Amino acid sequence: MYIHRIVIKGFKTYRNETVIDFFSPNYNIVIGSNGSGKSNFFAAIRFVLSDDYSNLKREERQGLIHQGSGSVMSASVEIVFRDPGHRMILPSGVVPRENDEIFIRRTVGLKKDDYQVNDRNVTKSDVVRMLESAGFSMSNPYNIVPQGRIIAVTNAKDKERLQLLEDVVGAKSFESKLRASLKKMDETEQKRKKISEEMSELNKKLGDMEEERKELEKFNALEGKRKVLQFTLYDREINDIINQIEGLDSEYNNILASSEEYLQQLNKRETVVEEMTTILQDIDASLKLKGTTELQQSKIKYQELSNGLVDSQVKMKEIKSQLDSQTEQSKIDEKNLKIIAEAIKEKQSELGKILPRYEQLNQDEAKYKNELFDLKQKQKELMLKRGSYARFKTKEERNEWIHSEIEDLQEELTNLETTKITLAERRNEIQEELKTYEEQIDELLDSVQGPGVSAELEDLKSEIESLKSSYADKFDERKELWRTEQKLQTVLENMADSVKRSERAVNESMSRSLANGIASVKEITEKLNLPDDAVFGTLGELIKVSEKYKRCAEVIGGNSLFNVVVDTEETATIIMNELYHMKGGRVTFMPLNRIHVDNNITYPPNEQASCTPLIKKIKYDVRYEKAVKHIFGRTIVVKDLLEGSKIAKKLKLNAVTLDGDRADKMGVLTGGYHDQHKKTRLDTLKELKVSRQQHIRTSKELEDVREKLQVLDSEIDKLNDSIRKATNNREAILTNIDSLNVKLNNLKNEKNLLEESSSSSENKLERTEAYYLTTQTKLEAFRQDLDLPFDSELSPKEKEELENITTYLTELTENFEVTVEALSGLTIQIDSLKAELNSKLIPQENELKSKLSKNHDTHFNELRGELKAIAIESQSLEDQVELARSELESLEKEISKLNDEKVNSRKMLEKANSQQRMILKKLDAYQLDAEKFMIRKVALSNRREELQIKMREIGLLPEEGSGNFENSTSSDLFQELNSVNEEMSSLTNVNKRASENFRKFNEKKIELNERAAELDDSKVSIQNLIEKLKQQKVTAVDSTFKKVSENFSTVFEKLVPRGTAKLIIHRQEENKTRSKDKNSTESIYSGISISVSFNSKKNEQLHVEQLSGGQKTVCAIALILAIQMVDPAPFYLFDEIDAALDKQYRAAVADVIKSLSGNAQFICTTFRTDMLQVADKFFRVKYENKISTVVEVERQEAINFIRGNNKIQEV
Amino acid sequence: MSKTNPYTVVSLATSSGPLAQVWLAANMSNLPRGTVLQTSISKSANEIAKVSGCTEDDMEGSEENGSNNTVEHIALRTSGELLHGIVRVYSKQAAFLLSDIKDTLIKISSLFKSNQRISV
Ligand SMILES: Nc1ncnc2c1ncn2[C@@H]1O[C@H](COP(=O)(O)OP(=O)(O)OP(=O)(O)O)[C@@H](O)[C@H]1O
Ligand SMILES: [Mg+2]
Repeated sequence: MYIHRIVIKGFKTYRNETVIDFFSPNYNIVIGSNGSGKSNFFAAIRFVLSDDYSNLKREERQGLIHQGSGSVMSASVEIVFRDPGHRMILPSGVVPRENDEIFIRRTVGLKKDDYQVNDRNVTKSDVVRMLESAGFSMSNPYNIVPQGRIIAVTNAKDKERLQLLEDVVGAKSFESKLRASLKKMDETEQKRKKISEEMSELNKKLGDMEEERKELEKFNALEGKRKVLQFTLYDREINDIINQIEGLDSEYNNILASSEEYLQQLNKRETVVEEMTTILQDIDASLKLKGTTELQQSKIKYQELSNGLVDSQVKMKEIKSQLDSQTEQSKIDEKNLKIIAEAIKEKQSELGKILPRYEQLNQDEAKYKNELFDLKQKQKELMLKRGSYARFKTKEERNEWIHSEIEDLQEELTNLETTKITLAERRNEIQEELKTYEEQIDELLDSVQGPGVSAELEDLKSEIESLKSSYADKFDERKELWRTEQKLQTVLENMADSVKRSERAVNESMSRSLANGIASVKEITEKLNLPDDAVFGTLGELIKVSEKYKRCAEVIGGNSLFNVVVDTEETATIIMNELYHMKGGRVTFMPLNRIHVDNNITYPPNEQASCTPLIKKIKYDVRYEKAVKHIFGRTIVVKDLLEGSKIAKKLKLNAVTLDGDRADKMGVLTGGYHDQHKKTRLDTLKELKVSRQQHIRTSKELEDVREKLQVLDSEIDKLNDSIRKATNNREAILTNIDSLNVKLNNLKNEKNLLEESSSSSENKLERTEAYYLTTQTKLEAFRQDLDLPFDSELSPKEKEELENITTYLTELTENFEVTVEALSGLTIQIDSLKAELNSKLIPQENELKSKLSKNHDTHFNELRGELKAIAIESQSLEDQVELARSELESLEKEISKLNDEKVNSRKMLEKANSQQRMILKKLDAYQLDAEKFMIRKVALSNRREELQIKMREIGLLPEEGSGNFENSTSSDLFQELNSVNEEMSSLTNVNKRASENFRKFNEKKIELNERAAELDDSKVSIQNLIEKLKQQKVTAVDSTFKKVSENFSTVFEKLVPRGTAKLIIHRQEENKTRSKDKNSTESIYSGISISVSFNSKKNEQLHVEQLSGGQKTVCAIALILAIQMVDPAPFYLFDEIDAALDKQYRAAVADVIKSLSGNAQFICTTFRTDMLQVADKFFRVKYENKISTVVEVERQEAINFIRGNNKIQEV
Repeated sequence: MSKTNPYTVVSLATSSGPLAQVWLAANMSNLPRGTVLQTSISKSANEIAKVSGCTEDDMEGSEENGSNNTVEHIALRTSGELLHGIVRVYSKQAAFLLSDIKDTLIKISSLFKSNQRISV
């Protein structure tokens, strides 16, 4: 082991990290100027490897840390050993390094002082022990010899030198260990005392236990006997109990059989009740339908129809009476007309009789008048002639007057002529006008009464009629639809009820959250508008199972029946998220795209008829195959569960019986009582599905009906519209005709007026013509007069004529007057007749005629038509009323029938229920009995088990005496048992485990005793050893001293060939007795002294005190090297040990060291070249800027440096 | 000239020789019970005496023949350590024995106390 490398940092002058590497394992020299830091280098090593720097004060630490520019907070020195021989034992926990290197580092700061080995924190004592294991003692002051300290060895007292020797021997550490050991021995002695106390206690306890053991043996014997007794008694009781149980079982079976019968009956009743309930429900539903809506509807219909009938009858009556009065009136009118016509005829005939005469008279009168006029004219003329011409004196005069008269007349004639012409024109005009009027009237008549108008009116009428009839039809239709709508509404309500009922039934068969979940899934599906082929519904809804296998499917499906089948897991995720948001319960989803179905299912072969795969009994859509297979695929239906479970286990399938008992592939059996009366989940699910479908169907129907109704409503509206339009049309035409009629009348009146004026103008014309004629004749007369001769007297002829005329005139006047008289009489007569005719009779006749014709033609016909129509209508209404009544009656009959049925069913239901109750009561009684049996049986079997347990507890019977009691009675046995028990109770505190305990603890005791004995031996042997070692120590010191002293002499003689030296050991005479008493560890020696001679081998032995400094140094070196030979440390550090020597000694010391350096590493400083000559490696310390550095140099360089230095010194 | 073999300590500690446990005992602060109970003190003591070079015959022999032909002996320092170790083992054995006896006594008395007696 040797120092390989030193790393110093912040230590004294070594401010920077200084690495001194590759030390030779043999002989190293360090050189450098004074004050450059050589001693500091040694100090650094001592800092790590010696005790000199322990327990540092603050100032001392400060002194170690580099002082100067740049603050250094801590000093650290690391020494790296090479230990190829593995002499150093690393403290536990320290990891070895490669190249057999060991790093020891000490770091000191103002507050810390740490040791590290291989970078791991250790304590100083760890380091001490480690170095010691390598043979290096940190307390030994001569391994590392500081500058100037070498003389201390020679200056030391004898005693100190002895200590040095003892240290070398290891006596010091041995002594301390010995002391510690002795102390420990004393402590142990105390323990041993206690051990022997406890041992005796233990022995006593074991004695007690032995006692107990004996007691136990006795007890065991008694117990054995008791066991036999008990066993016999128990055995007898058990046999008794078994007999009783058998009896009970048979009784119980009897009860079970009869209760089975009742159970069957109960089942029957159950089905009856169920049937009745459904029947009642149906009846209720139809009653509700019929009793409320249909009955009401039909009543309303009936009411409406009868109202309509009454209305129409009333109307008919009215029309009839109208018609009657009309005919009456017309009869009266006709009669009146006849009377009037007769009167007219009479008057007319009268008038006809009168008229010819009147005409005659009129003519006569006119003739007379004309004659009279003429005659009077003549007379007048004549008279005039006589008179008028009388005024004239001459003919000229007279002619002149006549001429003027003629002129006047002529003028008048022309006037008349023009008048005549205008009159004729006027007449023609009127004629013309009349013609146009006539045309207009014709036209109007045509448009009022013409075939076009009447045809149009006829058309309109028929149109209206047909519209009305279709309106009525539609109305009826609508009524019918309303009725169906109402009916469907009620049906729908019933459906909704039954859906709800089914849902409730389904929900009852599952947990709340599941029910919620399923409801929510439906809601979500609707809300999110998920397509039909995304969410299919619960599995139970999607399958159909025949009645026989329903229970199996139920059991196998379990809650999976409510799994919701969906198309993909995305759908499931959407719904689940939604469920989570709305807290809508929990549902299991079966996404069809994710379900994996194991197709490797082998079913048992077909010939094993006792089992069928369940899946073959389930009907389902192929779409859902995966889901169905997933749940039911691994199940077979078996007849016998035990048999089935074997098959199932073999094929890794589940087996289920028709009763729903099941065995799974692991061989676990499940079964027992199923509630027979409850509907299965599958049933409820099926019912729910059916009622839902019905509900949907009905609501669809209802919608259809409502749509139809809407269509019908609009149609009816349209019809109403067109009816209104047609009637309006007709009305318009009729008013038009009325106005035309008014116009026609006006025209007729105007025409009459015109006719009148025409006749008057005719008369005027006639009169004017007549006047014209008279005027002409007058004119002629005057002209004749002109030719007459003028004489103032009448000629005779004229006189005669005048006389004739006068006579004739009187005669004529008489005639005329008669005629006028007659005429006036007739005129009055005619006038009165005409007046009667024209102003009374004819208008009356006309009125009547028109009235009659009107009545006959239109009104009458209309009324009759109406009557006919109403009659038909009322007939049909009557029919309908009859129909409705019969319908109503039949409905009422039906309802009453239903009610009867309901009452019946209810009675039956009640009967069934009461029967059921009775059966249940009976069953309860049976149950009670059975329970009693069961309780007794259970009690008995409990007792049996108890006894069996007790018997088992009794366990093995002792061999002797087991058959002893076969012949004794139970009471004897009891007595004996009692006595045994008594005997045993006297041995109350028997420790049952006494013997076992005794055995166990006895073994332990023996072992402990052995150990105690061994401990005795150990003590003796240790004491022996101590004695021996003490002896050994003495011998060791002796022998070591001997060796060292021999070596000392040899080394000294090497150094000082002419001289001689020896070590002398001094005994401690006076202390001998004392030390023996104390069993002392102290040495028997008191010191070692040195005796030398430098020039003679024989004489002049000097003591050290008498020597010079250099001589002392030689002695010290010799001693150190001598010790080194005996107890070699791994390395030595000498700081200028040759400083005080002269050349001769220096060379010798160098040689000796050289020879020793084969076994140990030496690191020395020197200012001389002697050592350089023999050393192996050289290091130079440089001091720059108050910082030391170390470099390795060559031997020659080192020698040069030393020589240069010396020269300077010498200079 | 006899020289103490410095490697003996190492061989003592590392090999599973007869004194390995004792050496460990000298150095370890906590001694495992198994090791302690397995160690035979008298044998170990003899062994120590032998390696320390103080057996009867060795003593006799060494006087005359020198130690060259016999086993190289360990240093006195090491002997001290071994002695201390063996004493520690011995003390530990005594302590264990004492506690074992106490344990046993406690067990017995707890047995007596406990309700394992039956009363008929
Ligand atoms: N803590 C410290 N910080 C800085 N310098 C220090 C410290 N302690 C000592 N010194 C310096 O170290 C020097 C002494 O060094 P050292 O004793 O190693 O010299 P040397 O090479 O042995 O000289 P010589 O040949 O005279 O024995 C002094 O100059 C001193 O100032
Ligand atoms: Mg110095």
